[in-house]
Amino acid sequence: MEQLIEYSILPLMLFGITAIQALGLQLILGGAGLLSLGHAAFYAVGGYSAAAFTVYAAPALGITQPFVMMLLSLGVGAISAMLAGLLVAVPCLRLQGDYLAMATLGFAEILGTALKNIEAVGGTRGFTGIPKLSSLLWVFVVLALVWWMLHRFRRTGLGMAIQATRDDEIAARSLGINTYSSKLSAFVIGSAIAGLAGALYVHALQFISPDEADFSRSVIIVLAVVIGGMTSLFGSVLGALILVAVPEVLRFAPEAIREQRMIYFALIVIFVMLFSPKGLQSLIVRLLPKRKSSARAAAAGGKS
Amino acid sequence: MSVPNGGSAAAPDILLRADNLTIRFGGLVAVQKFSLSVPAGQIVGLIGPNGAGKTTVFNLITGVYTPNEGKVYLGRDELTGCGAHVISRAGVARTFQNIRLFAGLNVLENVTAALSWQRRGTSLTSLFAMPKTVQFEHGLHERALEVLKFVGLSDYADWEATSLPYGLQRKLEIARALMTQSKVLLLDEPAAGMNPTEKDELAGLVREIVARFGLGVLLIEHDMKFVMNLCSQITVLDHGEVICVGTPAEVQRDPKVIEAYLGADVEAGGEDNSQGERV
Repeated sequence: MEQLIEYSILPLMLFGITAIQALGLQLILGGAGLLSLGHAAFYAVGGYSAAAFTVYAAPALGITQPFVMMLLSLGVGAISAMLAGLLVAVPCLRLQGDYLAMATLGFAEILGTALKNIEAVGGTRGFTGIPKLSSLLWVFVVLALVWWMLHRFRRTGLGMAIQATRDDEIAARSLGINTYSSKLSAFVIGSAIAGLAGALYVHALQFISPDEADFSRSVIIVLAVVIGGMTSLFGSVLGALILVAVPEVLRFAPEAIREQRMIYFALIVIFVMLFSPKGLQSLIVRLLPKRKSSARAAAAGGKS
Repeated sequence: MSVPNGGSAAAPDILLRADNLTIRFGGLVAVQKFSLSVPAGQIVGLIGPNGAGKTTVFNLITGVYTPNEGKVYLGRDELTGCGAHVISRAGVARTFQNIRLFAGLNVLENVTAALSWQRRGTSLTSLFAMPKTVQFEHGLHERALEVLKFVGLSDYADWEATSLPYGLQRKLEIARALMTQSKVLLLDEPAAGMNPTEKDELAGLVREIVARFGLGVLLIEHDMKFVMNLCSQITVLDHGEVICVGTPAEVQRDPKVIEAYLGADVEAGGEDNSQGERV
């Protein structure tokens, strides 16, 4: 039993971290309707910066208290990822179309290559010797905070402006909404959240490699958001759960089956797109007792 | 920049003024030397055959396009070349011919989105739900409910915007535009696709908007009865040029207007003939 608990801690942490990443991307993809193919790069920026902070900066500043170190490294991770997000988004968002997707893809490639060549952060071998400051509690407290914040955020002025911009840019502008700054805010906040996830990751695994910025990692997060349901925060967390759980379950399967996880993900995506285009969360919502929608149907009936 | 207002004396309450607007798309001159003014508290009509350039005029005024020549003024401020959102904030609101509601938002949210940019503070205060943000949201919410009540949509507040019947979607666009607290309202074919009862109701609503808020309204509409009943002044556009300006009665009598409408289907040769006959 004890072993089982110990064994399940790491997958649970990975789930929490992936869920935070997915929530950040949900704001960009589902909230603002922007496609980022380099979300993992902002996560890596956050992770590397947070690790560099605890390994190099914190001892130099005389900070030794683990709680304070972790808290500050979360701040460093979020701010560095935010700045990286600004750097990529400022030139691209002025253009129409899918330039952002291409630019984020390019940024991830450049970052990966750069990290492999910086010896101070381990180069190709990866950054090792990071103190273990993160824990299951940290991960889930941050996850809960991010979730709550984003839930609140949708109802705020900026949250509404972002969604209006996603639905119809011309109409949004005609109502005084600055669509450029709406999109930019969504992208930058989403990147900062990825940076938080990165900071949690490096202090949990005590290691990060340039592979974390890789395109395939970004695709996994996009999949989590799409499978769960782009319009829902709950969906993104659900998608993250599936993407972390599937490989874990497959660990017990024969090797021939185990090695094909991308195929399973692809099958899940096709299944979701066919049977529940609004994601798995809408499937669950449909199965649950319909309190809200039946009330609305009654209201509609009364009106006609 | 001050407005050269010397010519049009005794019109201090002119809100919106378009002055010699011209726009070319490649070789095509879509709108040429278009001038018009909308006084406060009045409904001005903009009519013309299909493809005359009416919606292009709206797009020029609201900053969707920047005119190649000419200027747009709101009161004494020049708006030419400002971004669409700047022009909206200055006080020019509009609706769209092809309805453009926010599909992902419900009816109430569609309306609140209109003033969302007025948020206090920064993104960070939004994220942490600071008291000021909450207070601001609350105010927005209250105002949006009032506007919905005014146009008669309060019962639909939590509906998905795009699930509303067509006529109500048009009303929702008007509600959204009213929410901006603008000085001028531009309505692009607000009665399109409505039945006679709905049109009457809409005419009443537009009159009430003018009476209650003192707005200037500029209206594009194909339903002549609707336009003639509602507008005090009408500008007729054909092939991108103003062919007539006047009261509804004057416009109805103008031979050029009659030709533009009735001669629209006649070939070039026939058009010349008919003009010859008339002249």
